[in-house]
Amino acid sequence: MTNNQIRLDEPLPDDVVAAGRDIYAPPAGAAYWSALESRIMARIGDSTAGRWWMVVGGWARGGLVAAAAIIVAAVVGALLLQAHNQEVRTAYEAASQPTVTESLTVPEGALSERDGPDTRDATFRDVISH
Amino acid sequence: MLVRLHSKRAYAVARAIVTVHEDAEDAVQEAFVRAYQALDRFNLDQAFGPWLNRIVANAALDLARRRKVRTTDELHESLAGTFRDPGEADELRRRLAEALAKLPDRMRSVLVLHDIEGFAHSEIGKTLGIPEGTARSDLHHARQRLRGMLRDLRND
Repeated sequence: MTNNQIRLDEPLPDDVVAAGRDIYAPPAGAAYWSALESRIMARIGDSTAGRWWMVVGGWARGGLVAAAAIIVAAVVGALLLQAHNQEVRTAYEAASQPTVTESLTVPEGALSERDGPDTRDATFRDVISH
Repeated sequence: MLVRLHSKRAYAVARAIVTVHEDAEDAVQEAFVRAYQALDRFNLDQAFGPWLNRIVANAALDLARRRKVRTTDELHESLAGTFRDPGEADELRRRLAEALAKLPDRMRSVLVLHDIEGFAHSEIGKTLGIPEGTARSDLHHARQRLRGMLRDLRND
């Protein structure tokens, strides 16, 4: 083959292409490809296992978050319930005890019991004497 | 089954890029794992082969970047090595291996994929992630350089 036969944009000469195919020839034999396939499947298996653990890890993280949320909700609920009970108790106590005006108004009977008839008469006499 | 069906083509793509058999093997394995993990993103309307080839090319390019420290001499040796009887090696093959090793990576990949592996320009473009016109241009320049490097041999 001469240099004139090798032109730009023309395919490479057959012998050059043949030499190239020789250089880049893939391994021959079914055993090689079977072994390669096995290695590939093993690596895919490993990666799948890894992903499985990642998924489980994700679930675990999700579970922890859910558990934390439940605990927070329970604590908040308990605090709210406690506050509510306190309010009920306070309201009950407030309702069951006399009001300020009520406590300042001395019952008539109590005064008369406490002051006695002599004191009342003396007061009466003092009023009409003026 | 899918692995068996596509592994030889995947190997050819990887080998065109990384040039070394062991690296091509690694790239093929890595590519199949990546493809498996990305299967949910695979569009069933498209062909599986070109999609896989693109993943193989990416895996091979990643590997080639990591292997950039490889010396030219090592590349010559790896290109010269084949899986046939070493006694078959002749002057043309040795010189061609040397010439291919001197080509820029992308040019060599395009030339090997087109002239040796029989890929179409459009397929090379999709595989290497370059426009088809770039693949054509790379092939033109690769052939030109190769012819220049083999000129003295051609005149023998």
